[in-house]
Amino acid sequence: MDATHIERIRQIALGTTALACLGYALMSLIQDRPDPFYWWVPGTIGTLAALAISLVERRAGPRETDRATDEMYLATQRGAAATAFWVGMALVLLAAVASVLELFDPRAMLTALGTGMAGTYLGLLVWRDVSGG
Amino acid sequence: MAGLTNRLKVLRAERDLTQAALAEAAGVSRKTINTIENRVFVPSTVLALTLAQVLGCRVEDIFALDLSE
Repeated sequence: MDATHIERIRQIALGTTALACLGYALMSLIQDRPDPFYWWVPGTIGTLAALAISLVERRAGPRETDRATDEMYLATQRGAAATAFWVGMALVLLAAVASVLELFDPRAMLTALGTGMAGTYLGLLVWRDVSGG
Repeated sequence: MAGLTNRLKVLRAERDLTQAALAEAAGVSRKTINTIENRVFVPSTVLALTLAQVLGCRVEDIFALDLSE
C-alpha cells in the first residue's frame, strides 16, 4: 500500500461524497422538500469516506501518507477552497433571489444550499486532484 | 514576471530514474513530479532543493527562469 493507493481511495471516497451531496441538493430542489431521500445518506457516505481514507492511510504508514498529502495536494486543496468560496457566494445570491421570488420551500432551499456548498468543494477538490492540480 | 523552466525530465532520464522512483526518493507523489516536469506546478524551495539533492546536482541545473515569457 503506497501513496498512489491513498490518492485513489481518497479520490473515490471524496468523489462519492461529493456526488451524494450534490445529488441531495439537486433532488431537494426538484422535489421542493428538505428530505428528498433518506436524510442520513450524505452524512453516512461522508463518514464512511473519512473512515476509508483513515484506514488506508493507517495501513500505508506516515511516510506514504505524507507523500500523498504533499505540497502539490495542499495547493490543490487551497485552489479548490478558493473556487468553492466564490461558487458558494454565488449560490447564496441565487438562494436569496429564489427566496424573494418564493420559488422553493425555504427549508428545501437551506438544505440545497448546505449540501450544495459541501458537494461543490469536494467535487472541485476531486476534479482538480484528478486533472493534476 | 518570468516563468520557470526546468530540465527535470532530462536529468531524471540521465540517471535512469522513473517518475515513481524519483517521487519515492524525494518523498512526494508521482503526480507531483509529473506536474513539475510538465510545468503545471512550481515546487517550493524546499522541494527544489530536495530534488537537487536526490539527483546529485545544483538547483540551477534543474530550474531556470524562462526569460522568453
